[in-house]
Amino acid sequence: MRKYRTVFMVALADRLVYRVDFFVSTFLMFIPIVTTVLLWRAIYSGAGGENIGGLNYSDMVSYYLLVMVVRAFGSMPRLASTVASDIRDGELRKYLLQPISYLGYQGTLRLAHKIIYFIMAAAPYALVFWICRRFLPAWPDGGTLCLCVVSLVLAGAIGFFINALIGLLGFWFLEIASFLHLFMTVQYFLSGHMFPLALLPASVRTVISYLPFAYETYYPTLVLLQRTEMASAVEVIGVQAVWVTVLAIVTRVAWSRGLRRYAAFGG
Amino acid sequence: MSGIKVRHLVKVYRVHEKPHGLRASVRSLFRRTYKQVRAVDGISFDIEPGEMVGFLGPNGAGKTTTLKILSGLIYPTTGTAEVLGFVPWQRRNAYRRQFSLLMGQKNQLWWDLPASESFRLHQAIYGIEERQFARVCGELTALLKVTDLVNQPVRELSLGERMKMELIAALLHSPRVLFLDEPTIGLDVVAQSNIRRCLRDYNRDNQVTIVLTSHYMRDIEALCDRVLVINHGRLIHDGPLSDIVSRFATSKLLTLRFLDGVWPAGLESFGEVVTANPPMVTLRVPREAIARTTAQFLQEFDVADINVEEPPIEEVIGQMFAASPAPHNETRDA
Amino acid sequence: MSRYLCILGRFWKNSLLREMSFRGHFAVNVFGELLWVVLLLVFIDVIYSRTPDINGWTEAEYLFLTGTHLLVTGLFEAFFFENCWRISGLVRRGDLDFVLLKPANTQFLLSFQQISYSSLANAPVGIGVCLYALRGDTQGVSAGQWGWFCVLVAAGVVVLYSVLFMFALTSVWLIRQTGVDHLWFYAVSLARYPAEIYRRFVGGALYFSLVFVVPLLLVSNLPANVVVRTVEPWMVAYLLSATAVLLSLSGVVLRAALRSYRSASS
Repeated sequence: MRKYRTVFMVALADRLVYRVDFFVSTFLMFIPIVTTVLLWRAIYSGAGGENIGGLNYSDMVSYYLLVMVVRAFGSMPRLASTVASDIRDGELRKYLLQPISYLGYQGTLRLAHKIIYFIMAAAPYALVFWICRRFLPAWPDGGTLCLCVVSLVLAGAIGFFINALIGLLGFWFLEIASFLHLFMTVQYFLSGHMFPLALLPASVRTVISYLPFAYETYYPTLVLLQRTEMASAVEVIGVQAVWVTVLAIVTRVAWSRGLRRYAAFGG
Repeated sequence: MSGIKVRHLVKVYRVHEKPHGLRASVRSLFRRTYKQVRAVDGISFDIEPGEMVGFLGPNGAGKTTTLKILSGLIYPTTGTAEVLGFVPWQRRNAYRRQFSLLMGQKNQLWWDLPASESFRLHQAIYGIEERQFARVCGELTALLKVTDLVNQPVRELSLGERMKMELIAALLHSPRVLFLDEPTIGLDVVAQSNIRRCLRDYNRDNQVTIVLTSHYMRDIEALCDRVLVINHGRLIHDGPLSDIVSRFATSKLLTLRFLDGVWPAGLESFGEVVTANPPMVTLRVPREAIARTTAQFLQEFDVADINVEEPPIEEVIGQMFAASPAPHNETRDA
Repeated sequence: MSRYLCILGRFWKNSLLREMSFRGHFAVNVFGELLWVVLLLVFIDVIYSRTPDINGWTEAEYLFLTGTHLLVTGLFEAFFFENCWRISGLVRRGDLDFVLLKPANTQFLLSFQQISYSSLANAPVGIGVCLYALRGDTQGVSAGQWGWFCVLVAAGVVVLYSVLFMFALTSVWLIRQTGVDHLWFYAVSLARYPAEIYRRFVGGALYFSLVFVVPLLLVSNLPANVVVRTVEPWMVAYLLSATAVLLSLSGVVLRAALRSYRSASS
């Protein structure tokens, strides 16, 4: 654990040297929310203010805001491309010689990044949420809060493994940027990031619920929204845990298969 | 004919001080500290057309900075320079057509394409006539023995092969002045000597002025009749490489072979013992004491053979860099 | 002039060669772009199954706006996105040196080196969506409207180029979290909806600044309006002059950035 701690501390200090523009960049991240919410305002006023997919206007605003929180856990910027380029440029060999698991290293790095991000992003997020407080659901009680946190952490784990898997494609393909792009497009839609999946026909939703993406964003967001009639928190967490296990196993298999191929090619 | 003329060149730049530790990192979020570094500190020299000159100096001595100023990439803080009658940092197209800068640690060729496609791009940018392009390209690929590699994607080439392609790209427009910054860095011995041979032939055949920096003494020894030694941004030697030893070596190496295979006691009092393989022993003796010490040995001991040598040049230069005082060239500001 | 055309031809040929050397990826990219268009259409369908109009925009008009947006952003992504995106890397690695060494206009070399053919596929798809939105009813659109449409699409692309190019150059002075790719994402999110939805937000401040400071809201909206709705002539005149101003400003910023880069590097 100690060696991971060092990695962690170095990553922490490394991250901090980015300057004040962090605050700016965090606020900028809300731009797509603002535009989407404004579009929904126009839609709700056109539709005469009725419920859309079981959500009223306040719910819709909350949904997009809470999606931001969930994505803050689940998104792994540049993880896939880093893994792929480490494989391609032979950087991986450096890690293989060290007594440290490469994906363990990347995971620790991400954890450090996430924690420092949460610390630094807390203020801008709090400000935005305070401004939008009239749309948000009531603050959850202790038990619900615990379920929310567990669901968020699991969303983060799902995000990590999916992105790591895409990165491991680098063992088989020289360039994964196009796959990554395609994946992000698909994920944007299937995870419920684009709009709440409740707006889709039930049959489509059933298909999507058999994929991991919705458990990375849509269902955890519903848990935060405390819409238990749409998704029970315990059930969501259960399925999330299953997905984390499955993805971890698949990642492990892909890693050892890829490594064998790597060795065969001499790096 | 005009070559290169540099007078009192100074370059001072500001660097952000990297904080150490968590607390300092947090502080640097709000307030950064800078220090002033005098990378080049009053350098003057002249280089004649067709000369091949080497820049020698430890890391951060100011070699690369000087080359970049002469290439017009950066402005000097004060001082003047003229290359082929141009002021480099005005970046006239007429000037940029006539020189090349090759940086050993960087590559400008399109990574995923064969080098030949990048050459074609250079042809378009420099407006090289088709006939001349074909001739120069053919000559250079033959000279560097890479004719069959130019159609392979650059990413599939070895470091040495890639460097050769970079060199060709730098020479395509037949520059009159060539700046080479560590052209052989990271290459294996064979590739190094290939590139050296190519540079020497090219210089001889085309009368191109070449200025190169290198970590490898072999590069400089093999190519340059004249070296400029720079340390802490200052020029401390300008002349033939061999002059460095006579000028800067403070000691000579005295190798003795004793007749009976036994060394007398108290050898250390004559100088530092460098190696001792009976019956041979090598001593480092201060330069001014060499005549006296030699005479003394011949008189007092049974010496079978005696040999006085200059120390190896790497060692002299190492001593020279260690000895030349670091001037106060860093100042801090916030 | 002919030398620059020659260079441009080389840039585009090399980009094509490179994209073709990863033919599978080219296909994946184009497929990804098409998929994105399909998802947008699904979204529009989901919305308009719940409401007859959005701030007065009917489904057909909104579709036309989406098509125009795909065209404008597709052209920008094809010609300029990668060129702007790579600038911060060039600065960080010091590879900007290579560009400065060449005996040719620096802004030209920086702006045109790469072309992304797979993004270029978005342009015909955008036009297709526009035509689909009109449902074959192209009689109602005059040749003059189409002419202005083309001019304004071009102006929109140049506005996006100038803004992103200037933003990319700031990496000479700042270490930024927000990369060109982020800014592009935000610009796209802002520009793709009817501009009217911003009118009543924070007292119109956002609307005003995105129309009259950085006219991002106009790049897709104005050309679409020319065809399917009405446009005040002065808005057209305004966008064209703003385009000219931003383009010349990009040259000024480049000169300042290069001055700093060349003073700061060692």
